[in-house]
Amino acid sequence: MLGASSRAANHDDLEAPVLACTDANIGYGDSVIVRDLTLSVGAGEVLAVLGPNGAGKTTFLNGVVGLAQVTAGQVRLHGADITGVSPEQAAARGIAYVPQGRWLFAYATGSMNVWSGGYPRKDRGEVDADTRRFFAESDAARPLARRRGGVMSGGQQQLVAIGRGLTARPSLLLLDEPSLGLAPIAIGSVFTKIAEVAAGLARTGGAVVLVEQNVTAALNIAHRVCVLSGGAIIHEAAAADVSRAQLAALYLL
Amino acid sequence: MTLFVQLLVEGLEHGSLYAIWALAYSLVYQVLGLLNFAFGDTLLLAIYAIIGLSGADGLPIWLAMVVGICIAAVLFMMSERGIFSRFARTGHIEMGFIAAIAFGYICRNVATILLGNEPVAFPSLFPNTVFTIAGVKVASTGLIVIGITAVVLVVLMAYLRLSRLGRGIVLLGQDPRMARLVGIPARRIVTTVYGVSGALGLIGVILFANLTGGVSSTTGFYITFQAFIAATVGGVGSLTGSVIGGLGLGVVESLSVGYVSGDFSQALAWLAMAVVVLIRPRGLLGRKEVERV
Repeated sequence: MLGASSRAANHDDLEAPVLACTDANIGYGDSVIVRDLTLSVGAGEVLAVLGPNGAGKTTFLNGVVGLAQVTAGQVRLHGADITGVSPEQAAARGIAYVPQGRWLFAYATGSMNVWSGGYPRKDRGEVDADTRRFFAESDAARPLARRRGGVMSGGQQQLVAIGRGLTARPSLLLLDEPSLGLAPIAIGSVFTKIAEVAAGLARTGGAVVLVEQNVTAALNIAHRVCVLSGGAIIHEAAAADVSRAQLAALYLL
Repeated sequence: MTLFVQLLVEGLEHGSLYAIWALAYSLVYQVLGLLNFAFGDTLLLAIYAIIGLSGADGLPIWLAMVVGICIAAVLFMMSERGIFSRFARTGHIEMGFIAAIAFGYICRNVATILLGNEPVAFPSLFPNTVFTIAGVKVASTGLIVIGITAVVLVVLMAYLRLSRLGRGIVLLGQDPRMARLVGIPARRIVTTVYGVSGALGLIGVILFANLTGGVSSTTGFYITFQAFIAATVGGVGSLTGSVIGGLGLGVVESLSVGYVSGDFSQALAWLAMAVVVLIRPRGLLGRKEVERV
């Protein structure tokens, strides 16, 4: 089965972390938002990136996929240099992005949305099979297959957006604030799905980077936590070693 | 009553051509957000090339048409890479619009240099027989035009819905940023779509030239306007809308020529568009721009 580990074996370094940023400056045009960022995510890991608004969490993710400019430092995927790749190249290399606000294709059905995640893959028959399987295996997702993206609720869109990311069979899954705009009851089911997806990715040597404002939900599924503020990391720890209270105190800095 | 049906049939004949042009025109708007006002004049240059290449001492007409379609595709792709996409990237797509008008002028001038200012005849592709069904005169050429158009449209729509590239084109038009993030190669597809737009548009012009017997230097303008009106009324961005807009425009024109006056048919077409746009700015089947928070 095509996946993270076979891609890694073919031309990347099996020992290297899935994602490694070294002294990266990331921003838009002339303005640098994130400075000297150094972090890494290992195979099988879920890294939660937390921090107040404007800290640069989304900018960091954008820098990995080419929506923001990396003006210094390096970004490596399985050891291979991907600094400055275009979004298409990032997708081709196995990075799946679930952006803030989902960005579903509004006039396409849930099925077409999920299918689109597999666009770069060579095994076209398997893409169709993966798409069908996503809806068949989930009671919540099944009615969404034929519904247009634009008329779905936030929680439904989030589920489909995750499905779209999954169809890429990525080695790196990036999620930007999946809880944003969701009703509390929907957050629960979305995060259950994310946990399930993370476990699946871990089996193939992939990793997940989860940017979140909802600290509790993030701490429940993350292995490690990294707090960004003002464009720099101010705290890094294992998820088990921090509490909500500690993190809240950090945000006030 | 027979007059009405007669006019309706003729309206559908011309309307099918407008539908092809509107579709070709709308494809470009969908992927680049550009109102391509060089559309008709670029096609004019290509059809002049076909006429110039064929004839008694030249290539057989079928070969000339194949060459012409390639010329149209290449001209469109070159203008996209060399001119329009540069403006799209700077975020000043309005300048691209002006550049399109300029490029159209250049094409038209080159065409008149080639074959002069007078109308030129287009060789007839199929022998024309007129038969009468229930009192309505139907020309065989007209039926062939409707038939070819129907086939082209069905094949194109099916391709866009079912093939990987077709779906990529549709999704790119809906959300360019997300499309790139799932790996849809934006630049390559935009150029390809331009090429397809040129080829498709020229097929329409060939059928048109066959129907009317010839083209002149003002035909380019005419093509652009018909495509623009039909696409705007149908809803730029909706491909089915373009088809309906085209057919509707053909019928409205034909009816107004028959019942009102030939001189007013163009004016009525613009009036119809103005009315639709005032009531429903995005066109009959047009889609709202998706607001992103």
